Amino acid sequence: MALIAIVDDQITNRRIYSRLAASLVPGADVQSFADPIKALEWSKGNIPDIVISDFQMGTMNGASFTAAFRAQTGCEDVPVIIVTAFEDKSFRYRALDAGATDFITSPVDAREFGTRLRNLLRLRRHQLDLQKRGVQMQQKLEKNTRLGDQALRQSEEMLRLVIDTVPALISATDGHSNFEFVNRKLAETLHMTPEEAVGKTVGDLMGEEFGRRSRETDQQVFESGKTIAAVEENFDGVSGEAHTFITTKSPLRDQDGSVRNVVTVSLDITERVAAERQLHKLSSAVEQSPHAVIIAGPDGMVEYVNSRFAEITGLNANEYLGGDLFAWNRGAMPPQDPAETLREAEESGSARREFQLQRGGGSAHWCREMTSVIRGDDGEVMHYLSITEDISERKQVEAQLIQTSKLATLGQMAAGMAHELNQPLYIIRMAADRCLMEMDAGTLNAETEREHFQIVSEQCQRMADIIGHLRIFGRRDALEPSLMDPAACVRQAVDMVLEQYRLEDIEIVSDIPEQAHAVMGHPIRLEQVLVNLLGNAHDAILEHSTDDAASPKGRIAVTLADDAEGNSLSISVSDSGGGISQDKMDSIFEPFFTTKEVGRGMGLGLSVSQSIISEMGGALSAKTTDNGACFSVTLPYGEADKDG
Amino acid sequence: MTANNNNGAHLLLVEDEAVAAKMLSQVFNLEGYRVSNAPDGVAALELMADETPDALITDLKMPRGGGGELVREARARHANLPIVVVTGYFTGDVERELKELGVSAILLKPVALRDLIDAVKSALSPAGD
Repeated sequence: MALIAIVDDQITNRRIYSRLAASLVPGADVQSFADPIKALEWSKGNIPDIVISDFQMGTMNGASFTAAFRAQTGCEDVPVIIVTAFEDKSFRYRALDAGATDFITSPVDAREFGTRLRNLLRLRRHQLDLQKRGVQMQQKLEKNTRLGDQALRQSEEMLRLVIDTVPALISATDGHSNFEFVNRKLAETLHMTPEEAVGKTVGDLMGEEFGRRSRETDQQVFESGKTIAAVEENFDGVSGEAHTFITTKSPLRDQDGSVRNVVTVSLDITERVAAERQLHKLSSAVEQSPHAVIIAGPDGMVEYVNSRFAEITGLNANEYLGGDLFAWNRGAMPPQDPAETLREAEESGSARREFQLQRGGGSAHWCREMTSVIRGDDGEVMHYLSITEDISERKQVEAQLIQTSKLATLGQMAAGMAHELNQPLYIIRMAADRCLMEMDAGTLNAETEREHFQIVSEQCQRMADIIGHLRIFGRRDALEPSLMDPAACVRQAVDMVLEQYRLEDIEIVSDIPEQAHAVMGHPIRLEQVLVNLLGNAHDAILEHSTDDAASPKGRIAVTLADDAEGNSLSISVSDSGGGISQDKMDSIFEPFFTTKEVGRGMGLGLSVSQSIISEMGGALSAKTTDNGACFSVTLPYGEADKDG
Repeated sequence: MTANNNNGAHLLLVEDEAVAAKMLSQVFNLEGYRVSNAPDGVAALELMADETPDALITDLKMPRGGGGELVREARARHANLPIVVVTGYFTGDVERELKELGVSAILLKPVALRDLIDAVKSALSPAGD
């Protein structure tokens, strides 16, 4: 709705204009003022859409009025039409100077008045529209600016958060190595806040030497304008702990493209380096191990073979990579069953095997292989590990030790043996001498002769048996175990000492079956163990004996029986020699431990015996009985299929 | 075989092995001696309690106390009994002890039969014929 102000001191004019305006602009609000001063006052609170003013007025002319009106806020652009009574150019110029918009000549032509009025009102409307749109745009712009600021602030904050959260040490330095920016992680490493670090130099905070190197690298970035990537550097931390960084330095450019700062991003790889070193240490240890080490994946395919493998097996390691874990010991004696080995390893954690391996057409070597399983956290098999050791030399040494110990036993038995051999020799000589004497006297008859030759022959056999026994016992055993009858070993051992001990009043009572379940081992070594046990029993009895001639000095009981479990048998040797005191019980299986007087024993017997028995997969144990000691040898039954 | 001029002197022969004991008995019988046999020291002492022999011939190594014990006991009972020891093995200590006990001869197996016969003979007549 248009607001039209009419200013004229003539009541008639006011009426004419008012009527015209009201009829030309339907719904217009027409305010008419006789006094221009009043009109000015009114227009302070009401901005008209158009003003129609007479020029020739009593209190104030149209030019002055227009000037005053224009000076009022909001009225700068309101159209002002000046009505002049006559064509007077000087009035019109004055009015134009004061800001009038248009003129109408008085007396007013209704048509002209209407046209000008409508045109100016339309102009005013457009003016107001533009103004309104401008304000809206301004408001919109202001609003947009406000939102933009907020978004910018948010993204800046986000960026800062990201930079502070990444596990990297990030800083920006100027050309003098001064920190202009330090992220939280770097500040923490320096034991300070980012604010404290900014403004300090790298050398101030991270040590002179580190600062110097950093500055040099910064200079290269400043000069080349290029990134220097992934340099490893060492930093002795603030509290002395050594750090290893992997560092990248990049140029930070101004809008004009010149390098303003260097951005340094470092990753602390101290733990990784430590882990790598540890790994390197372990892998070197495996590589330099005196044993062949093979690692296979869960599918049994070889992933790693150490360098010792070639030395021990005489095979080319590369040929076995990617192949089957057990491909290399296919020619082993006794033959190995890979499936069985893996099953045992998976069930009990590890499986041990001993076998001989022909090395490239050369000599056979003894190998001891341990296969074990490496499991992940979930219990699934991740790797199979096979460690093989060349035990040929050890086997030789062991055999040598066993032999040495046996010869020592033989040495101790020598005196008794001498007597045992002397006895038949004595009888033979008597028989011969008797015949010679009778021949000399001419009294020898055929019957006596025959009788004595018979005696000589029998005694020769007796000596041959003793010597044969010694010869077998003294002989070196084969390195390979075989299936054998333990009962025969026990009998032979008993036979060897029976006569000697009888003469010393030591009785041997044996309860041995005709034949026992076969066991795996070396028959002479088992016999050696038994002779040792019998010898110990003998010595204990002699030491324990009183000089009572009327009764036997002692008794040794030897038994062989199957165990209740049905998979092993036990041989026991118990004596009446007083037993073993508890303090000595702990030491008796140690090498060179002996209770015997000097010259009676080396102290190897029980230690060697124990190693022989454990080699056979059995156990040797001792206990004290009512009147003596009892040693038990437990041996697992041998299996026919193991007899390669 | 030579003269039976040993007046039937009584020898106690201690030998645990039957074959040896039988042969020695035959030889000494042929030499004109009367021979008693004992397989060990305990049996020998029992026999001696019944009848004191003119000489004791014994091994050292045998069951039931051994010969050493027998020699000591026999000497304790009969201070002048001639004793001949026939053994396969002895040490210096044993030899010294036997000599202290007044053993007439210590013969090492396998002794020549002639030497054994001579030793017994001279033990029975220490003064010499």
